[in-house]
Amino acid sequence: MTRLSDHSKGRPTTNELCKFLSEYSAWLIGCGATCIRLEKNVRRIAAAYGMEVELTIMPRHVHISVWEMSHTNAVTTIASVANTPISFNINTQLSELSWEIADKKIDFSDATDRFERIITDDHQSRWQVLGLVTLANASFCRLFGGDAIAMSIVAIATLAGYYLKQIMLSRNIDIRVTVIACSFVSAILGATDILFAIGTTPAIALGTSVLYLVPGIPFLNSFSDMLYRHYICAFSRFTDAIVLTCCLSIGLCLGMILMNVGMF
Amino acid sequence: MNTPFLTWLCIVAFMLLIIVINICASIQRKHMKHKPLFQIGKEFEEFFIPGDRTKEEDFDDDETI
Repeated sequence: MTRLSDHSKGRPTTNELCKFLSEYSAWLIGCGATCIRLEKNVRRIAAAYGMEVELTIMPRHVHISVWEMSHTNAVTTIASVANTPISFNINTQLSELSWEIADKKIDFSDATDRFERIITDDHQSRWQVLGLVTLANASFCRLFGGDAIAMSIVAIATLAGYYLKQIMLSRNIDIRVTVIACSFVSAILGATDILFAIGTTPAIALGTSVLYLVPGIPFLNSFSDMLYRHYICAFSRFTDAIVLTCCLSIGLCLGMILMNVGMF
Repeated sequence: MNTPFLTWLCIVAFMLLIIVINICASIQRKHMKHKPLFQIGKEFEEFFIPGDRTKEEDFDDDETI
């Protein structure tokens, strides 16, 4: 994907705005925004510069056409959806950017600079994320009625599984293989309570040890897209989420079979 | 030794191994420039005779051998 040039000042031409909006859309949808959010943000930006915009949002591409209000000089671009991890931070900042443009707080050249900064400066500490995911999953265990021992076991299982996930994804291993491996490892470690009979809620420990792998955002986004009649994107996201859930189940079942845990 | 315990032991050992390897690798990266123990080099990197070309790009197509 090309970077935007910074020669444009004040009000952009249709060409410049179309290029900016295509990159903006590619990043916004790539970092986990719903189709309706993308539509609203893009229309808001285009309206701020007195232009009209039409979008076709596909699962892997966004097709944008920008017109002057007089319906002359139309420009169309197609952008591939950015291949980036889901980031609410980028999502929020891009939405704020659209409001700042709409409120005329920044001009176009500042907006392009700001956009560049948003997409390049999003660095999250992997250790911080690892710690927070571990705490969140242990809390889930407590919510489902797990005791302190179950919470500790879930924390360790999550720590190991998520650490493995970070390593595998950093080596560009397929996400489906990664989810199977991580759920398998977490299920085996989550079954510690059952294996050594050290707690009172072993089934809860095992069940909640893989919850961190549930693709919640794709499920929620697919539901949102369906409500707003973006059926193609909704179906695509739903299928993605179902595939990941199946992978999670494969790992969990494999772990349960090897640990001689009931249900089968 | 039963299957569940053996499986559990293997997974714990595997995870510990991964953690130890990653910690060692990160320490190594921090303290020294990474140089692999074995690597495949080019011939001119191993044997240099005065007059040899130092870069492959220096090759002149017009030159007759």
